[in-house]
Amino acid sequence: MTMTVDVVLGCSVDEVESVAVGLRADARAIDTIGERLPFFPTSWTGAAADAAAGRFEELQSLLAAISGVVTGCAQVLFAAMTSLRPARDGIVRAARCAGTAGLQLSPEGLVALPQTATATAAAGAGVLVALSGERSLAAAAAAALARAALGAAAEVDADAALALARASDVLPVLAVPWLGAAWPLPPWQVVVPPAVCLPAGVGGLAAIWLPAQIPADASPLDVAAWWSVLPPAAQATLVGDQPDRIGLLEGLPAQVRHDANVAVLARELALAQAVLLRAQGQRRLHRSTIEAAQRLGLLLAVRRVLLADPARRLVSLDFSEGGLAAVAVGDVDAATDVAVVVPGLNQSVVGDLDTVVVAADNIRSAAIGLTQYIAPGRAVAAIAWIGYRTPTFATVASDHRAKVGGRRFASFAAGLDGAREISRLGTPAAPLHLTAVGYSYGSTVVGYAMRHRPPVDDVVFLGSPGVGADKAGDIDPGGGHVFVGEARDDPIADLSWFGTDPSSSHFGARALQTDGGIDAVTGAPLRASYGHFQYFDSGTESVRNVAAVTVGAPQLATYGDMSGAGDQFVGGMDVLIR
Amino acid sequence: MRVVVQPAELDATASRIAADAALLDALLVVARLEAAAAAMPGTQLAAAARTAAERLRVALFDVRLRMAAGGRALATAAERYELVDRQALRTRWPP
Repeated sequence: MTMTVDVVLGCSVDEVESVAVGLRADARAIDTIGERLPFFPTSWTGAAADAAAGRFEELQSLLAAISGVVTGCAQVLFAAMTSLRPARDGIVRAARCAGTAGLQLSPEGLVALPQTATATAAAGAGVLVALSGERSLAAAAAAALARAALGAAAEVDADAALALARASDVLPVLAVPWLGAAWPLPPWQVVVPPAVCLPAGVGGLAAIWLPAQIPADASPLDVAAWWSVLPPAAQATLVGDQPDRIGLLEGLPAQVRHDANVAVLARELALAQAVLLRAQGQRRLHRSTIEAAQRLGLLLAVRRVLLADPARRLVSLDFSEGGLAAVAVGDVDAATDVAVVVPGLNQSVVGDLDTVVVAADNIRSAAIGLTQYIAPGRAVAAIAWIGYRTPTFATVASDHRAKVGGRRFASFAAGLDGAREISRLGTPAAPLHLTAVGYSYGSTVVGYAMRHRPPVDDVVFLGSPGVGADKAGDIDPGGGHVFVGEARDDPIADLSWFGTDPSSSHFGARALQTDGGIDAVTGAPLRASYGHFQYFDSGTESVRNVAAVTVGAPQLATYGDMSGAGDQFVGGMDVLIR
Repeated sequence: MRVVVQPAELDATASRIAADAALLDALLVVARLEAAAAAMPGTQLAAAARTAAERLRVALFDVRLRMAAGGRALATAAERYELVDRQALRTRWPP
């Protein structure tokens, strides 16, 4: 049986739930009738009394079995509706969202123009219409949500039908051959097999078919859609049972990932400490002891960062590649604007997570300061993302890690955007404004990430040795949305190691000033940044300009000449060569 | 074998069983499940709900008949015990 939009929308969830409530009352009434059946302790004794007592005991057992089946039916129906409701809501939201974009959901959950919906469905093809911009985004999100909702509904339907069949299987199908027979009636014993004894409470029963499987190889948008149609109980079960996978799943809300990652953090801390305690007094240093010590260092670094501010969120915690993590400051799930800081050379979780988080925090604070003047109430968050293995001095000359990191960053950005797109479907909420801030080698990572066309709105390169592109236009997510900052006397920013120097006029990025001055909006003095390590210092013109881009107000940033000492050197060399 | 019996109590029990059987008749279990099936057209769950409704209909009908028969049997027993009592009185009367 194929699940379609019409079938899901045709389900009257409220009505079935009220049926379930009624069935529970019926089961209680049957129990009461069973309890009232006669038992003659003193008023009737003898052979006839014994025979009657035996018959009434059979009847009691039969009534108890029927009551159990009715209760089971009620539980199955209630649990099915609890699971179906989010899926149904998902279809409704997808249809509403498609409608606002002038599109329509086909019965199979495909998104198409109204006149092509039927033809598209008949052909069994995907979204055939070419759309652009916001409309395309809405169509993709609506299609993902409809797909996830239909999948969830089909799964719930099949599993609940099976559970209901099992619940009622204990009742024999009788042809009532003894109709009209005189007492005593032919006895038949009803025994409820333990396998179909339904656990009390909806939550227990829901576990028969939930939680659903975590989708493998799904896009972040599909993951976000899948998550949104899961019942809250199933979501909680997944976070509790599989925190390692949930914490790393791109497309889930940041708070959900935080809950899962914190659980992993606590567990791994306890494990590592236990291993080290056991190792005390050992003469030989085992490999497992060394690994536990390394992991403990990583975990303590992450914990220290989180404890410094309870509002920080552990968006990602990955033990691969020496340890990777992402920490958010501010509410990513509710923020209008999110900046993601991507660090560079030698910046590890163990040694530098706190520094990168402070950089993110400084951007956010400056951005909040600006929004108070230009757009009060606009929520800002920033993320310190050490989601790739940063290069060492030995490997920094290669762009290999930038390519790998670029792919991961693109997926991370798609996850943030996917979660937002699905959550705002059918609501007037604005789309997420996402800014990627690549620092040093991190700018190369962001440059490579932009080749995958992630849903990034603005890109800022700071102290960049090159971004793997010769022109800003090659990686520009829009028109004029690539920004570059170069501090005075920053030798790295003029290396041009990975393509054209992004601060050169040939590249075509908008050059953010970093020399210091007066903030035209707030009137506050802004400090200059010097060298390679002051781009994110609080109160600098650099961080203030990044903040302006972050809140979608690049017109408030200050712009200037970016030619540094390195440029002059390269220019001089050019003259000599000519 | 010594038999202890209070025919009036047996009779009252028979009446209560008849009333409970009527109560069972009035339950809407089957109708509710059929309503649930109708509220979920096109689903496997609706088909399963109809099957469950049919099985419960038969089972409830079975129980209903057993209760009615049991009630009748008790009432009959009460009557016979009373008759035995009366006959015993007659044989003892006049003293």
